[in-house]
Amino acid sequence: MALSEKIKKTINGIRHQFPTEQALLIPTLLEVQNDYDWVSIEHMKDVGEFLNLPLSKVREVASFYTMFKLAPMGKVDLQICTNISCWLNGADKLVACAKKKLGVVPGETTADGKFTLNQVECLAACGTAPALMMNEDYYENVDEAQLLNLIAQAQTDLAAGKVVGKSTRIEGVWP
Amino acid sequence: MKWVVLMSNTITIPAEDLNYTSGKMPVHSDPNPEAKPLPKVTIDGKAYEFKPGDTIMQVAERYKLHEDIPRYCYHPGMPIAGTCRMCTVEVEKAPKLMTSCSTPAGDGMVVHTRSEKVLKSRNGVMDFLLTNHPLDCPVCDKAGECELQDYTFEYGPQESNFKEEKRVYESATTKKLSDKITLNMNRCVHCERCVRFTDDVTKTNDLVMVNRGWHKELMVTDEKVGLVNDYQGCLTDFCPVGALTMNDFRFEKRVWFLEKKPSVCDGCSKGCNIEVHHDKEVVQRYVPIFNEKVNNHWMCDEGRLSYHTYADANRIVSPLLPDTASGRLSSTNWETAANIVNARVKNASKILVVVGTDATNEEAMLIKGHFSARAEVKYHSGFGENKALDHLLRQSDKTPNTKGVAAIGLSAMQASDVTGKDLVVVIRQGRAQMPKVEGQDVILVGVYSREEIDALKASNVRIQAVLPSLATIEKEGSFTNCDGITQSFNAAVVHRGKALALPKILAALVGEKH
Amino acid sequence: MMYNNEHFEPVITPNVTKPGCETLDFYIQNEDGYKALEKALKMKPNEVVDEVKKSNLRGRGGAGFPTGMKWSFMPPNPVDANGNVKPKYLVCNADEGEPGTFKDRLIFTKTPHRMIEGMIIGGHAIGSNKGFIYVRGEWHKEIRLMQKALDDAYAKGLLGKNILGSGFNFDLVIYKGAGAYLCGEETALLNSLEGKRGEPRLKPPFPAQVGAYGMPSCVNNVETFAAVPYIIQKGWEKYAKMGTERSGGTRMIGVSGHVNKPGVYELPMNLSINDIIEIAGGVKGGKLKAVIPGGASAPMLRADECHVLTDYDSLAKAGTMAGSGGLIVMNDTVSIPEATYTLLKFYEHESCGQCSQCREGSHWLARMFKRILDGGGTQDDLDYIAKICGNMAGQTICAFADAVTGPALSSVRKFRSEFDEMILKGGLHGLGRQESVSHEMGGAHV
Repeated sequence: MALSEKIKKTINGIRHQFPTEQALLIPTLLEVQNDYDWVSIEHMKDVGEFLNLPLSKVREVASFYTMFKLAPMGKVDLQICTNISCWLNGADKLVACAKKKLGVVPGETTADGKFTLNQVECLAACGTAPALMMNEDYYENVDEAQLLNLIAQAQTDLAAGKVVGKSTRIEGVWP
Repeated sequence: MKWVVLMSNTITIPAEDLNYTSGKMPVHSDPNPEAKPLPKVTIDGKAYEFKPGDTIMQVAERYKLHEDIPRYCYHPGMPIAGTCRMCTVEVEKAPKLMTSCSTPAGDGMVVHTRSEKVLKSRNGVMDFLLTNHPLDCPVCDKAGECELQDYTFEYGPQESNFKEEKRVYESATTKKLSDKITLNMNRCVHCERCVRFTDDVTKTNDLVMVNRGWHKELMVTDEKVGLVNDYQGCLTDFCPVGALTMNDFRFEKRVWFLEKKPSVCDGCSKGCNIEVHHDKEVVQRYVPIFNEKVNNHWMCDEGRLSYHTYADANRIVSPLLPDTASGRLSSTNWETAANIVNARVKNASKILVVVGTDATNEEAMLIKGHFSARAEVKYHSGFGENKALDHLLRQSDKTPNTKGVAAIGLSAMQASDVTGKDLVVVIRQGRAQMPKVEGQDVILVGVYSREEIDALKASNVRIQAVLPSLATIEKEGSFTNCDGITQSFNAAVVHRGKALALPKILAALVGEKH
Repeated sequence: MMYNNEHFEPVITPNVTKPGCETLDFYIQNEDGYKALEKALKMKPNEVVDEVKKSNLRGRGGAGFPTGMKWSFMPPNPVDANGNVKPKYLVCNADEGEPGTFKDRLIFTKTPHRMIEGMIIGGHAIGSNKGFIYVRGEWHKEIRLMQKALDDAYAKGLLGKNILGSGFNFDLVIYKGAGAYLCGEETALLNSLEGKRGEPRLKPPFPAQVGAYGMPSCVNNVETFAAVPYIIQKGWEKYAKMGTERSGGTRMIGVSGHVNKPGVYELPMNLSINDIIEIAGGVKGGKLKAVIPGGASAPMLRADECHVLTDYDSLAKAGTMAGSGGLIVMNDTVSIPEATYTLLKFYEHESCGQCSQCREGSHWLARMFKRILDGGGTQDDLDYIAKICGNMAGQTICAFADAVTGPALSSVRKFRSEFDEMILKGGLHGLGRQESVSHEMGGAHV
């Protein structure tokens, strides 16, 4: 297996912006994460080969940053901020609500592989707390009813084969 | 370059080198009195000269003050990390404590290595490191030479208020990283010496610290490939705790029973400086000792485990003579053996003496002196031209003294040298390959195993006698390594069999009756 | 009383509520956009540095280091060992993630060109031709908005070669982070920018000598850059006058938690915390109990201490800090031990784990607070928290360990009776409170 041509093309497009190849490691891993929903050891080997880096350098970086998931994830990564400002404004209720609705505890993926529920640390949206992320998209000032709507909408969209939570993304265009 | 050969402690250093971690005082030769005076740093009330660019730790090491500065992540053979925070010292006028490993010494700088503030900080570090350590010293091979134990005794709190659950790495409590190394991650203090070693010294990148913070875990980079570097034993040398242990030594011996004697590894032509650790003359392990000009702090696994050749139950340790009726070799006493071989040598007219390149310089000289008048004397390694096997230490010539033996004027044995000889004396001490002597009458002198003898017999060699001699670690002498550096050594252990020192055997072979 | 500072006017946010305020056209037409750049490019680099120095602009990322001085540390003509000229890099720290802090996100989405202009001026001042904008990776939308702003600026000749005909070249590149709070620390950020683990570096060498990719570099916060065009355009005196003696200008304060109108407010520095709470619509859901004045790392203040002014020095004198301008308000329904645990859980999760004290200590503190919440606390624990914090603060490579001790120490010191009661009655449960579902710990990142 090798890194997909799509990812190679995206990364080669920004290669000239950085003085070292290693600098492209995080962008490349982010693209892998986007395309496959997780970063496996095999992916890491491919990335290392592409950037001429030993696997150890790829692995230590992939396991350091929380945006890289080292195990398969659901199609929708629902991340609810539970840090102080969100917590003060009812993030707890959102977590409880999501747990009940999805039938999983934070860190788990639903049996159908559609949703992964996560608690996340500060998203820098404290003024519009509580905040959550669905894949790439932020939702702020969320209450339980809205959360249930979001989940329902995501389910509908997934069933229709639509990409969820990447409303500003243009595939193949960095960033 | 002028070389100073220091007897017995095996370290050969150039006179002008400030060999700061070899345990020696620096040599202050001042060839140019006009030169600018060296800058000075005051450490614990005494002023010390230093080379610009030295860190505080390096100055301390040059002057043997390093015992006063504890450290986990710092290692003189690796890049600086500065993360364990154990080596902090108080520098006057600095607002915070400074890590001595990373802070450059400055002219006029005043450093306190044991002030109240420093001791409090070290006490704090120990308190933290002990929170999650399993404290399983009774079943830990590192006990007795563990920096966690030593520094706890010296700096640590005597009790802990840690009441939470300890961190347990379920899958890495006893995890074999390779056939040589076992990891117990629970004991790890996250100094990451091992990762920096594989990144920067061996450049094999086969270890990695994954995750972050409290969850950091040491792993083999690619589980499918495993730990592959040839210097894995070094991981256990510098692992400050019992996280990485050598399978060869695990549960073999409590370290406080070990006696430690310096020697030189004879596993290849590099001549790494080692310490032979033995208990009651039984070798338990080799560990490298620092020599900047030879092996730095390291040694390869092949050399490290090479002591097994000498501790092998199949090593011939008493003289053997063939039974006249059956031809079977059986052990005898030295007097009988001496009489027979002495006569055999006297009666031979065309003798070839083959000296293995595992003989010491002194032995080779002696052999040459004894035989050159009445025999052809050649040397043999069996490994051909030496070349480096990697950027570090490993050499293709697995004998320790090819350069030295060649330097006394002997030439290499050719296959044709055996033709027309009526006796071949092979003097070879466990490292050189056996020369090709099929169909010859041969007297074997040196270090042999039963398997080697059987193989010789199978190839139609008529063994006249086997005269066991002492192995490298059992005798004194000197080797000249592949870089032309001559290193001398004393006996590290007392031989426990009936083997004799080579001069005595030579006297028996060719001497007048005594 | 509110804006009793006669010199005050908003420096960064005069128009952020207006539609289209994020566009280049809006910035040029309504805010004299890139006029400051034009002016700066006619000045000598050291004149620009002097202007910023005199303005008393202090770093808005949290540490409050004087910006002009930081710029002046950059070597004028760095060369490598072979005599080759080394490039210099200007880096924008947009890794906003300190709980309670969300001001930079507003600048990113509402007035990105102000920051870009500040960066170009900064590049001119320190003699750099390349800048990196390091943004936290979760800001997908914000990053794309910023990229759009950069593209527009390039199209107008405000970035790239020969800017505004001055002969000065400057390129700006966005770098996406991938989820690590610690990358807000400038040397951790530099490591991350190089594609490495976001672990802070030993200093010395400082970034001005060895920064991004081994080259001299200067790292400033988003808000810091956004303040620069104003200083150049209107002159240092006007900016300096707005502030206090040792700190010029305005501050962007993000007010969150229990207030009626949470949000980012650009304010003069001579307001008290009480004033700011009033501006933010007052406390909601109860009476004021505690305030964290400068992001999660700043020690808490009790309600009776909230008359303190919010400039750097007054807050420091009150035993806390201005930090990153994140003001978190807590009303009297909040359990302080529980709120503190929420913060400690964050620090436990975000410690990079290099330094012994921080790796083990941040975990220890979080576990200890959890045990107290669960009813297993003792009075000895409270004494020991101070000892643990004492062993952490000031002992590590970066200030993260100090940050952990901010909430841990201040909560116990200032709300001791609440801890006593909790221990006595057997934790949250004993007090008849429900435990938060979010309190379960996350495991290792796998």
